[in-house]
Amino acid sequence: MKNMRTTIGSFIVLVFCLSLVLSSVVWAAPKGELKIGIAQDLVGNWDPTQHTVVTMLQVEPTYFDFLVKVNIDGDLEPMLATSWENIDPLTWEFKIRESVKFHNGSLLTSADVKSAIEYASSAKNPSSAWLPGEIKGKIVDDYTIRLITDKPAASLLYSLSMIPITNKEWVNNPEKFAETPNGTGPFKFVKFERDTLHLEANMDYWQGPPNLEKVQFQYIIDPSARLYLVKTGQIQIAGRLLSEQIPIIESDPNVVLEKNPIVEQMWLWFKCKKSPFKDNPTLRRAFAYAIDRAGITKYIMYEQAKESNSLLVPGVFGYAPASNMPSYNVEKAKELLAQAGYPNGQGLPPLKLMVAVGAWPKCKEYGEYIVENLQDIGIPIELFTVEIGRLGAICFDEEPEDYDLQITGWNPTGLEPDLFLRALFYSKPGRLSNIDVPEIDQTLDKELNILDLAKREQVIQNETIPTIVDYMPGLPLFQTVELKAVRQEVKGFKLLPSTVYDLHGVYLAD
Amino acid sequence: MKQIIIKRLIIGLFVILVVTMLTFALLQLFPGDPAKMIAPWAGEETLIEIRKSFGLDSPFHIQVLKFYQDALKGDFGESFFYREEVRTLLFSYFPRTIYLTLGALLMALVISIPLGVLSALNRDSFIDRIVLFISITSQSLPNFWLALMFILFFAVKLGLFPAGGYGSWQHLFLPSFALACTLIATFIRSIRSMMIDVLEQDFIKASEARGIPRLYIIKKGLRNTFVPLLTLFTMQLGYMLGGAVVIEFIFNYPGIGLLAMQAVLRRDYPLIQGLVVLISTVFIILNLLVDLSYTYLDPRIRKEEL
Repeated sequence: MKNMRTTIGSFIVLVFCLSLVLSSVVWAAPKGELKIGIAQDLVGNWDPTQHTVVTMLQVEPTYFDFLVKVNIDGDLEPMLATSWENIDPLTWEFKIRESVKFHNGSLLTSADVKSAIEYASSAKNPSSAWLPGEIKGKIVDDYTIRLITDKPAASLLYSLSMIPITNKEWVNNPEKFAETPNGTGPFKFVKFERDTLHLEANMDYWQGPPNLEKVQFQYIIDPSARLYLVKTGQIQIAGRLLSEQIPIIESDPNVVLEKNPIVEQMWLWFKCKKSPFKDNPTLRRAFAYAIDRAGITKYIMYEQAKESNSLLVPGVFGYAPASNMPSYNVEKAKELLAQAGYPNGQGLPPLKLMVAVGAWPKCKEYGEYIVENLQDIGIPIELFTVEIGRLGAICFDEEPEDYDLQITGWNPTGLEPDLFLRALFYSKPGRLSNIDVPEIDQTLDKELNILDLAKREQVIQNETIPTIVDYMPGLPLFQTVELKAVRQEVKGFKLLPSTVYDLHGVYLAD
Repeated sequence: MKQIIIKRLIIGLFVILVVTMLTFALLQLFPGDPAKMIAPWAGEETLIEIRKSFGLDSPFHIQVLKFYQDALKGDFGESFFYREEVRTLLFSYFPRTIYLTLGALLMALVISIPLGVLSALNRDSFIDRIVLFISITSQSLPNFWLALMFILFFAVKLGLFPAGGYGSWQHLFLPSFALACTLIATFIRSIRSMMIDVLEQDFIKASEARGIPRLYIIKKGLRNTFVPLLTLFTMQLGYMLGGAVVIEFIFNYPGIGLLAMQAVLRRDYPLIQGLVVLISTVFIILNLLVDLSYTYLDPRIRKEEL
């Protein structure tokens, strides 16, 4: 009898404890506000199809979801699409997740997916740069959709991880869309107050509410200010810090240094439609051989960069070191310069290398280093600095008046090779190098149309990249190593190579 | 008196017109198309629409006239970047810089008046040398460095004040102090030399001989330094607004200094224009107020003018 009573008592205590644990799991309300200091400003246009601005791409996953998601290992995971299959080389069928609500309360259906993807792939919108051409959507039923491409497109699935799924009502009203986003993401847009984006927890999120009640992205222009604000706890995460700041971060027990190579690569671009670089790949290669890229990493960027050895960075599908990538060789540079018709730089017009001050860390410093490298072999070149505002307006010009070469970074925040190769080298307007070579287009089309991943990888590594490197429209200088300072109380935060913010599981410890 | 005010106001208005015109012309000379800065990826059709909607397709003189017409109504247009009325932005950012500047001036005066007087009263003594050392040191150290040191010591190490941002008087303390440091040096040396001049005047010596209390003499002496101090004070206001750009940048303090810097980096023409009008107007009004206050502080000037 006594044993029976003990057993019943133990059972009641167990049930009580279990209910306590379960209730804490089920009812754990989002709490705390995470403040993140970002280094570049948000453009304030919330229609994701209207820009390719990296800061916007990084924050979009907090309030938008995508059909598929790329995980930290670079593999695809279902997101708003629960499954997908290739019906024929041009058609992909996606099953859409049910009971997913947009922030305005309406339910997600395949009609929303159709309008969002067709809108994003429209050639008139900048977001089309991420996709392999115009895509048509065919609704099978409320939760099944087929996406049809013009040609077989191996890049489609990875590219879809960059196309936010938005509400059809918003797509039909671009002005409304520009002012407020309406997605299905874990956080809802509250307001954009000058330089600060305010978000709040989406309590109806299909994966359960996030742990954080509020999130704030604040544009803080000065890296020192970002760091000190983290150290004093006024913000919890500071991005894009400098290698010189590492000892300061590491000496603070309240702050953790997150250091990770990211998909951003810095490039030296030749204006390929402007003399003397027009139709002269030998001259472009001569310049490439004259530049000491290892020196940039060693003497200027320190731990913030890894010397590039390919057009892609490690982690991106198809990456392998390019065997024909020029490495620093002054004699070879001089030889090629003579072959290009400019022995010892004679006959070259005065050239200008454009760098934007304040856009990328130490851009001006390594710009000066490159200028010195080129001057050493007789090339008449000087540095031309602009503000970031002006860079955006002139960097795509085909025959710019003010400069002949430029340094810019490229970070598409994705791991699909065509976000780099096609977006940078296919002969379309709005390319940084303005290269227009049919052979490059052909090799890019070839790799895109191969649906067998192993074969595609082979073609990218052995044909596409070597072909582009031979034409040398731009020289990849280094891969950026991102440095972030994160306060100890921030738990579950991961610095992803794609640099996007995935904050659903992040919480603030007491 | 009224005539003087009206005359000064007319001159002031003329200066604002000229400054605005020059800024407008300089912005036009800036290379680059503002429409492309608003939408770098846009096609030619969209760019034409943008130029039209911002009035950028009109000839220069029409743009200037339209600007004046709108400015008279207090309308400086819409910021390219923030997509907000320039007027609204100025109204929300400018008071913060005023608080910062006034805070710095107040700190500078509170610190430099006693030190300056002390130094003058103890001329060539050890105290005088210590005060001069403080003055020279604070002037020699660039304020951006001081600002960083203040953040490191008072915010990071001691945790007494926030490292940046805006919201309370605590947010104001360190940037104001950093901005005040160079002023302190200038004020100490000026007050010291002015006080020495005054203390050597016959009426002070006579007062001392008559056994009038020292405190009263100091008070008298200080009163005589008000006019030159006011001139110095006004001259320093220009420096303060310039210095505020650096200080606001380091402390991420959202005042007009930071706003102006970002407007220039973003090529936000309407905002730059609005800021230029605001800053030049503030300067002109301040100068006018200071000139008028002379007449109250020094009756001799009032007499001359009349």
